[in-house]
Amino acid sequence: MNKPDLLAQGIQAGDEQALARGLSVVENREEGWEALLERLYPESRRGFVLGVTGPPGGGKSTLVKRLVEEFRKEGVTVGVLAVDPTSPFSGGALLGDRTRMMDLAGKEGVFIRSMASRGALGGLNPGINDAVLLMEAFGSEVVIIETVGVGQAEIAITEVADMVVVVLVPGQGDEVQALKGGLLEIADLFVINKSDRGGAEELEIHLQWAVAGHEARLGRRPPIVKTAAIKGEGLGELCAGLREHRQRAAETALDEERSRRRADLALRAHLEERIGAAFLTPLLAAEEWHEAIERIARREISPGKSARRLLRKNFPDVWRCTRED
Amino acid sequence: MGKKIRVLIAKPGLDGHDRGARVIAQALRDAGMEVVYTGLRRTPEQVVSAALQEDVDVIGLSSLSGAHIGLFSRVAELLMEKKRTDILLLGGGIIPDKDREVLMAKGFDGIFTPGTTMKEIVTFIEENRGTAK
Amino acid sequence: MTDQERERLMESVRRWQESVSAGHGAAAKAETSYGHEVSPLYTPLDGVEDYHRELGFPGEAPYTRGVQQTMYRGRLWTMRQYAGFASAEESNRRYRYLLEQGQTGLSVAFDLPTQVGYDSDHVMARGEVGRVGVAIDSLADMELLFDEIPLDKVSTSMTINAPAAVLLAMYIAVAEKQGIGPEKLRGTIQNDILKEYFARGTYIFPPVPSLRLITDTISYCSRNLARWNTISISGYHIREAGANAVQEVAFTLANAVTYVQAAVAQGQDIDEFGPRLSFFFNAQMNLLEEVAKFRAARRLWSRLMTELGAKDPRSLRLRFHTQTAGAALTAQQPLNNIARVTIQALAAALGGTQSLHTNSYDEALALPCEESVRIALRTQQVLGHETGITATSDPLGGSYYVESLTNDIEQRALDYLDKIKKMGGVVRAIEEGYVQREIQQSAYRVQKRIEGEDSIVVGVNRFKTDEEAPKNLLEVDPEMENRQRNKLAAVKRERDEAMVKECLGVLQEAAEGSANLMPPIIEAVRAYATLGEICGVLRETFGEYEAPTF
Repeated sequence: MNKPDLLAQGIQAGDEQALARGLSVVENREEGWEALLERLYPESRRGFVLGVTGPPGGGKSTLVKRLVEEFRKEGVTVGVLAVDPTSPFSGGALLGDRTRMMDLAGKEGVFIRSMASRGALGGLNPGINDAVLLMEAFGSEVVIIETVGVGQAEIAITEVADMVVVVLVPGQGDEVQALKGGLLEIADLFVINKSDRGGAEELEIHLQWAVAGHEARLGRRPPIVKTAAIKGEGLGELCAGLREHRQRAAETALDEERSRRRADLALRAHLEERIGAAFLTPLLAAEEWHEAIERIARREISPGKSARRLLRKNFPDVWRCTRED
Repeated sequence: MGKKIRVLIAKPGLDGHDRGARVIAQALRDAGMEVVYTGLRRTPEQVVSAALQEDVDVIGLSSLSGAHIGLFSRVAELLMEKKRTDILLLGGGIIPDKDREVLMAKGFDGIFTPGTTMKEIVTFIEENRGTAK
Repeated sequence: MTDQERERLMESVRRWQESVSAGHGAAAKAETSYGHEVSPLYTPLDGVEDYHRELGFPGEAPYTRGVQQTMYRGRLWTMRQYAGFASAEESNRRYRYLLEQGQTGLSVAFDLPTQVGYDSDHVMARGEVGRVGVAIDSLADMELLFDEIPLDKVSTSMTINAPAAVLLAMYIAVAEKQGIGPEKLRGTIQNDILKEYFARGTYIFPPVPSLRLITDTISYCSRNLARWNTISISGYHIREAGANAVQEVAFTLANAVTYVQAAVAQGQDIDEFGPRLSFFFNAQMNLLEEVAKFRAARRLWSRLMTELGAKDPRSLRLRFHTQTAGAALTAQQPLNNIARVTIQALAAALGGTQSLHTNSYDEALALPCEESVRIALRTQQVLGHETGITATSDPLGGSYYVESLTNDIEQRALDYLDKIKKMGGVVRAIEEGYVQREIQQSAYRVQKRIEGEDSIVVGVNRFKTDEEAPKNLLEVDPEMENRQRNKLAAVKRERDEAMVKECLGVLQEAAEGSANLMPPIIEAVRAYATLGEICGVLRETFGEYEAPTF
């Protein structure tokens, strides 16, 4: 058997190391990654994908850990993808979310994987979709994606999810900023974590107003749950909120909508990646690219004109389609 | 999407001094690696389990409490059991030469003591990962 | 200085600077540990403006010049070497050796399982028993540790934090067996949990119940152990974790303010416990900066306590212990460390420390051996008796440079304190990871400077020699762990199990309520309940702290 087949077989048999390796293969686009996805795609069950996001310092990792424990109590298997930002300077990353979940390491039915956002063009790690698929194939009934909700890229990652939980904490002063940044639009449920701190009530009122104000536009009114994850408070309510959402989603075709959105995203990601690989990547390495950059930097030519020239020379068909006149 | 070097930096045992571990983690990040940090007070079992799930190329252990022989050796044994001696296994701390020899015999690829530069460690990882045993 | 004099001096300084740049061009840059550029010359323009307000007199507010009127003329600093390893019996032997050598106070190092509240037979204790200090599981170990040491004659400092109340209870119980009442006991428990969360790592419980344990011990000691220092608020470990001098002062005092506020919120009188608060700082290599740091810390604390409402002048005094910097010791050419420690100890003495631990030259390699510990103690004795620095208080007071640095460090520390206050206090700043990030950035900067040779460390990045591996390093007997476990098992066999259960039950009830926890802990300790059992009960009630990530 070849490598992708072996890996696929291992993943489907629930072999942790095969999943760990497989995740690297798809994330790095190592040889055989497409074959691996092809092999797993038709046979993998659809799991429940839960996005957890919010500003830094909200206690997301602790909350995720508690959620995992709750799921495990019910015998539900869980995969966690903890996404941390890649340093724009070095391309490296510090992946620290796992710290909070270390005592889950080695527990049965839980698989945790840290991922760097690695956003080269636009921010979305194209591997994230595929990572979810692998976890589903491995048998994770719930896949939790944890991201820091600070920018559009991180928010986009949660579009993979069937449900998005936005975690805020009182007294940080940036919750209003966060809502303006788009978190209001993507939330299916709000958690006010560290609610034993002062300011929880104010934040709740503030949120209720914001949510009510947008109800007409969004067509829904996400519930607000207060938790203190470190103490394990409010988890019952949170789990009930998740259950309700799933039930409603199944009844109202929201599920299908989300499935389509996820399909749309996955298809787009694959297309963009291939187009990039086929057209852009070779061009980026070419001499004329560097020449163009030099000339633009010296203001001898505008970037738009330079792009049109490159297109005309290298991809005349594309150039013809995009001509303005 | 190139392959990034993935590293697990771990603090097995009860030692709470993580200045070295954190500084190294930051240096590796700045050298373009993806670094998973375990935080304090981990058992060797937790460390190995995390390393396998994260599919890391390198494990770096740090302990300054003098408990390195027992804790570090256990990590090496567990990797042996899991047949993952391909992972580059490094240790750091106040480790006398005699203990270094013991650990190298147990399967460590490198032991770094105070005074080792971040640059040396980065270079060591870049040159040796994937070539272990 | 009159305006006219000032004008004239400013003019002279300008002239001098111009002539320097005309002659030699710019001098090489120099900076402090916190990245502040040091001027090549300081003058009265940089010094003291208002003598009374900024300096005052030794033994008087704002205590810049020292907390005692006569400083070392009255009495030398206490020479206190931190020691403790392996078993209680071996540590007891080391203490008695040090007392014979002229040491004047004991300082107990505990092993890590003890520090985080695990018995020696706990799974997390594997490999750690007796490594960095002595293993204490129950009162039985404490009895051996202080065997034949009269507790009313020595002052004992215990480096213990999360379970400080338990170890203090054991100390009280041992004294009781020696026939000594608690009011006669002198010493210190570190009892400073906040810095554990961001600098030293031996926390157990979350901040709120931890603060309660601290205020409970403070309140108990105010009533029963009047000569005991109930807390030693420590910048030492903050500095070791990579902080610079300003951060050391700022974060230590931020923690101190939090303790004071917690005790006041509990209804205690600030002037009742205020005089028993003590501090613990690091002495690093930059001699004059360190002297300035100690002076700035004293002045700032005096002002902070006044703002917090203290009236008794004794509440305003920042009394501190100093340890030379472990992080400055090099494994390369270890004997050079003797020179380093001498300079650091000098900084502490010139800075007006109340007690001092000097590190041993071999500590970057292993636990210190007997010879190296003796040299470290002798270093203090040489400084104290041969150099003449003890003749006058605050001998560097009035140095333009030192006064300027003192002002600078105080101001920058104050800026940090304001920032932390705005964040909602130090507990919040820790939970958000702010303090940790600030320290880590400093640590990373120091390391980069060494690697870029912007900072020179002799024997490490310059003046290197080929050397042989050091010999005669002290080792902990690997069988020690088993022996300790056996001892623990024997204690558990012989004690009155029903009594232990009852005591632990009472403790749990107290923990769930709001009564002072010291009395039930003392009862439990007397019944030979183990440290792990007592902390176990508290873990169940209080929960455990989870550290934030990067």
